[in-house]
Amino acid sequence: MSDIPPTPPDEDGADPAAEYVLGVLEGPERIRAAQRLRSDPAFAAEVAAWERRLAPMLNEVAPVEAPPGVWDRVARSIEPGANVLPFTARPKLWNRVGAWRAATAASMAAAAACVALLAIRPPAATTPAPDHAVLAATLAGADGKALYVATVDRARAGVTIVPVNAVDGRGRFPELWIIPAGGKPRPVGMISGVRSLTLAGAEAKATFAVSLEPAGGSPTGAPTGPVIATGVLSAV
Amino acid sequence: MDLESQREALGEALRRVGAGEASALKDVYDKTSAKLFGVALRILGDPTEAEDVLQEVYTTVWRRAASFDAARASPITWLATIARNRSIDRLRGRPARRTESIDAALNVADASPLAEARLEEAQGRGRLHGCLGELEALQQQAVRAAFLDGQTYEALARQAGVPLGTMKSWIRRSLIRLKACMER
Repeated sequence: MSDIPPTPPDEDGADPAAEYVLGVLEGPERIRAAQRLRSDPAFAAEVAAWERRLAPMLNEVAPVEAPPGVWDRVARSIEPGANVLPFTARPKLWNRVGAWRAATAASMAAAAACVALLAIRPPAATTPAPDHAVLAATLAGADGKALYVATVDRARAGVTIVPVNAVDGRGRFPELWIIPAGGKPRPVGMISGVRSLTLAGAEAKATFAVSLEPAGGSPTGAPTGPVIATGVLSAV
Repeated sequence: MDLESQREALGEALRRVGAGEASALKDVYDKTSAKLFGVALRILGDPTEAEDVLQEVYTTVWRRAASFDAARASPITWLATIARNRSIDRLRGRPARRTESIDAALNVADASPLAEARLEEAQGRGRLHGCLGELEALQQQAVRAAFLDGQTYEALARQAGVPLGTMKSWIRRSLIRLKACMER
């Protein structure tokens, strides 16, 4: 082995990907490596390769039965309103017509009331012609309970959002976001009560999400609070 | 159930978690929590902290399962890696972020390690152990303590009674040798 002429990744032989995976980096070095992992695909590939090389060592670790309370904490933390939703998963689930119907049926009376509201309060920007598809989404929490119904006008320039069920904001306020397929969330506006908001474009399969934010909206331009409801736009 | 069926069952449960099925998360938890608790406990040495990490791991799994690709990674290794990283983050005094924005949640695919681990895992285990065995005893011990116990360079140097610089070059050289050995 000692006759192998290694080509050190830098002059003192440091290989940050290997050292990151091994876990020996501390403080700023570890943080820098973690940031690089997100921004540098070549570095991420190196890290993945080292994970693959070293992972078999984990077979040496003996299993230890976890205390019974831990699952309950996990279950509570994934409840709707908690700040962890399987966000990337939701579009798949909620794009299904059956799920959409189920969510609607689950709050039949409220949904009926909201349809009535939509009928008497069309979006201000344009009135959709009856022969053109309107995009709509039911925004539901992780338990399937519909919280809002959003309707986008034909010009894709306005959205009307109607609350279907009460939301306990716990001192924060619901803000609507639109997320184009494969894109990043863009703020649409705060949505207490029935609101018509302007919208810079929307497409079928875009996702609406509602997060809880400080009064006045997210200070960062990106969602900062828990996501309480999501729904995918489709033609109705 | 043989290893391959177990792996497939776990991969399928993760796929269902990725589709938003909370009951599947319980299934994943039942199948893997003892292993992941073992990993966290070994690194943290404190059952209360290990419990906190375990909770964080499964809420992370809930968010990230959609980015798990069974064709590219072994499910248990994917999970154990999350548990190990969370444990080390905590050990280093940098608590994992408890609230991640939607933005971060949408970009988790880049954080999934262990591409192609599935095919190579079985052979890799034998190969890694063989290659670790080729290191000098003290250096092998240092690599194991770093990976399994989450020890830093400083702690490793203190325990081995060598200067920090010596420990760094031991580890760095060991990593180079391991890589070369495993690619043979």
